[in-house]
Amino acid sequence: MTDAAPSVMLAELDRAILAAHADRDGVRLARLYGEAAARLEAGGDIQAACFFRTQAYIFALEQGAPEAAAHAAALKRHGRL
Amino acid sequence: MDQRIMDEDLASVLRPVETANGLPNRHYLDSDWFETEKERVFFDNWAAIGFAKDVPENGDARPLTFLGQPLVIIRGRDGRLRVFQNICRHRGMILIRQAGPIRGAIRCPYHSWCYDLDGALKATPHVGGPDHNTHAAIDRDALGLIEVRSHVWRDVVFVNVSGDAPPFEQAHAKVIERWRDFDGPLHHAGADSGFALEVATNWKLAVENYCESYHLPWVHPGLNSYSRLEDHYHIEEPGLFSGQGTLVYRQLKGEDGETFADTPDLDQRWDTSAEYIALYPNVLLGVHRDHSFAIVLEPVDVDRTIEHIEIYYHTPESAGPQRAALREKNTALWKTVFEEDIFVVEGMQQGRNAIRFDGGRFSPAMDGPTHLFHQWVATQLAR
Repeated sequence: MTDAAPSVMLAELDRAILAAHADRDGVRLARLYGEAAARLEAGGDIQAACFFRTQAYIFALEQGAPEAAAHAAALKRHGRL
Repeated sequence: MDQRIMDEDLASVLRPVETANGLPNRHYLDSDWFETEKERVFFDNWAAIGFAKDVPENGDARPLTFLGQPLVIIRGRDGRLRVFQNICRHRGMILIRQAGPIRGAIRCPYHSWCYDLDGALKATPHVGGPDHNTHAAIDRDALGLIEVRSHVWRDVVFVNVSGDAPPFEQAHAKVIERWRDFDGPLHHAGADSGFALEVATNWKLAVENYCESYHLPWVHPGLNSYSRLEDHYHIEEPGLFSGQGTLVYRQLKGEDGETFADTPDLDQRWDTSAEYIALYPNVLLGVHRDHSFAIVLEPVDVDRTIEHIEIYYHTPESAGPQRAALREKNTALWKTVFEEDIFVVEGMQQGRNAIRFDGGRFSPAMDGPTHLFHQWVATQLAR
């Protein structure tokens, strides 16, 4: 994987997130922000990962989605909650 | 409000019915009086804002505006109905704009603070800076939704905005006891059993008209054949409620002679009796052996009121598909009756512009219930 690939993936995710915002689709937003958080965390960018995981957490909370608890636990581990 | 004007306005209203005048014109025309009523008549007492049947399932929310107050009725995951101020504790943003189910938490659309359905503040994203979701200065336990005291009786949602009225069951013990026979479940059949009427009148005139049977022979002539003026009696509970009863209620019959089922175990005195009570300030209620109704008067402006009318049945069968045609007939009949009152309440509202009108006089024999309502409003304003 080249240095350009992660930014391309994130750019695609970014477009998908904006589309989900335009559609006011909370289920997609929770999933997509969660994906972005996971990728950034895997890449070692914890601060950005926690930002996106916060977004994922909130949309999951709003939807009553079970992954809200996992997001909360991850944020707590990083001292963000 | 100028105290001298207030004293002059209310002195004659507080006289006995034989010599009292009604509330002066400005109580039906001036926005100042409308504002004063907000606090002293509505917020300080138990006022009606809607119906529990509008949040039927756990998780349902219904926003509304009550005299300028943004409120939301929520049925929690525990089944309990609560009323909150519909604002985020952060910057006061309106939280919920549309009625419907809340799947998870209530998320403020501004900064996404999230609340549980019991009002607890659950999440404050980025409140401590980007990706930091807590801050020592933000105590979530102290920043839950502001709950408004509420109570449900006969499916009507009452609120006490000031927070210091006596408990509902204590404040309205007399009407609760009077209609104890009708304490059973109320069944609402949906769209065929409710309607709203927007009327160009001050809310008080709708109450005043409802209280009395004096106008029945002229405004509701359809009743004359079977419910004469002498078949009616006054209901008078000073300071609480007033209205009228009838001794000759007749059940509605369908094409095949079918009727709505009676309230189970009902005392036989209700076989031919029915009662209609204005519960101060803004609920008009009616009970019959086989159905009841509630009218919540929404004071939109000093000269505009929306009457929200809902009809309830006393057995599940009466609210079921076999009685759909009869329900439509019943709803149409009540709609006709309440529409017949529109021209008189709108006419009285227009009449309040007549500068020499002194608030009018009351027939001691026929207007007792109406006079009691005027007196109650006057005592609330004079406190």
